[in-house]
Amino acid sequence: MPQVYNWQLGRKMEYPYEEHHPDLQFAFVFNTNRCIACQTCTMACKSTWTFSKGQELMWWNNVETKPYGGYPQNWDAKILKLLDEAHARSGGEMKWGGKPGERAPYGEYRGMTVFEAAARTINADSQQRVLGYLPTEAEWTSPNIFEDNSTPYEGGPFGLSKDGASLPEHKSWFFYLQRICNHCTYPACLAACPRKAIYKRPEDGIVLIDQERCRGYRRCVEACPYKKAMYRPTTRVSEKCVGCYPRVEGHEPLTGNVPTETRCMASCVGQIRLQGLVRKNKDGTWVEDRKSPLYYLIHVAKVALPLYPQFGTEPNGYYIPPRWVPRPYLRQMFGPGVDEAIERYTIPDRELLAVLQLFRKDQRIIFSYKIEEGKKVYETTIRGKKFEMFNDTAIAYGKDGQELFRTTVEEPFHIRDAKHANSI
Amino acid sequence: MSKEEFEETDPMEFIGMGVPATAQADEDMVRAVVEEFLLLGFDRDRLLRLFRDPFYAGTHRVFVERGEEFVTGLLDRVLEEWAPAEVAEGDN
Ligand code: SF4
Ligand code: SF4
Repeated sequence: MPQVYNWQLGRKMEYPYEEHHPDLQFAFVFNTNRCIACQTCTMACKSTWTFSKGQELMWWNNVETKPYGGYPQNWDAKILKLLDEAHARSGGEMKWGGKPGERAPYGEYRGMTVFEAAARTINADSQQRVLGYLPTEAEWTSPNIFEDNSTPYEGGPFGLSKDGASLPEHKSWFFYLQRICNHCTYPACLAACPRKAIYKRPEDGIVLIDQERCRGYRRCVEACPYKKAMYRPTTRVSEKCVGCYPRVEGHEPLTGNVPTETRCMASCVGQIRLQGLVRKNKDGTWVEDRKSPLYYLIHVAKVALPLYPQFGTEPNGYYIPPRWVPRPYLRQMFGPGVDEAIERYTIPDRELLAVLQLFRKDQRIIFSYKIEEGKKVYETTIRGKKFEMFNDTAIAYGKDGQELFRTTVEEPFHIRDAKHANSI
Repeated sequence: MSKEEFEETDPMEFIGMGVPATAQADEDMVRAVVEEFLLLGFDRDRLLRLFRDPFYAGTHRVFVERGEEFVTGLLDRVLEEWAPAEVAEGDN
């Protein structure tokens, strides 16, 4: 099997195809600390792409409550278990090691990916190229079952059950995990397709399923470790998130036909989402683009981390981990960069504070930013570390360098008129 | 609903399990809650109510299990860290 370089794993890995990288790659950052699980993103996607017959169980965008929620149910626990069993069979361990370096910012993953685990532990005759499983229909239904409501409601104001809940209740922590297709650098869905019906676009790295070539074998559904390829019974072919490619290409009249963020990003009420197109080198690493907010968040500040990098698909979705969640859980989910990311996010430096202000001020894609320095407005010491706040201005620029907007670190404070205090 | 017996063969049955919270996790969570609500304008009394009131199951559990002193100690430390500070003229 060809060897490809996966920078998130800090090493080469096996993949069924040779490496080829797009000029630009669709990528995004989600700040889990800010999500309120309003599901506006979910509905924005649903009402754009999956409102037709046969798509009833499809949620290309979903927001689930961790640790107990998942769409499809228990997807991550299931794939982690499969991977764990594969390691047990072959005597390895899913662990990280080595020193972080330029081409290996999180050190080196010493375990097996879903591709390697399949090659080593699955019978070659089975034609299964990726370790995975097919969720049952029941697992695709009720995407948010048991989430946020494990205590029964018995009517009346605050009428919670006096008996409590018989479900195991998470009493101290949970968080919301926002999920879309990661438009992976090494897509498992693409690797698994026996008909080569899945392709990664050279212009933006968006991964699409050719609806004409697909015959609905569901190998992609089985292979995608994130479970973001889905089968449609009415057309009998598979579908997946299309990255709102007409918007990304710049066919959105509302924004003047410039590259525009996807519907789920643009609608985010919690302002937790930032999407862009990042420049890639021929070897798959990111071009050092110091002016790109995504490059800054992922490669300089290192506050945003890939979801389950150990699966090996090199996902292009990055998450600022929730700062109140036990670290072992987060390290399993986002890799070894978690502690550093939370430290930097909790006591942000001057540039990070300004860049975080760029989230959701506009739906046109930000290609670069600049910061104009402002006055120091606050300083203190948090857990022994100095924190300074400057009212800097972050300026966002679009594809051709046109200014999109400017925003300041200090935000205007609006107090709602008492007369309208409770109106919506 | 709460009185129904757990049925392992029911595919829609909840099969998650509680992940234990460590002492450090309690501290991280209390800090996060206090900082977020402090920045929203809550004063000490209102912040403490988030822990005293059994309606807020997560924060109240910490209050019961770790004790009032643990919560108020951490609360006061965070309040002190985020106290309004004058910025010296020469700093700008
Ligand atoms: S997240 Fe899944 S569906 Fe999307 S590109 Fe990666 S492997 Fe394919
Ligand atoms: S719209 Fe934003 S805040 Fe609301 S659920 Fe989606 S990601 Fe979270």
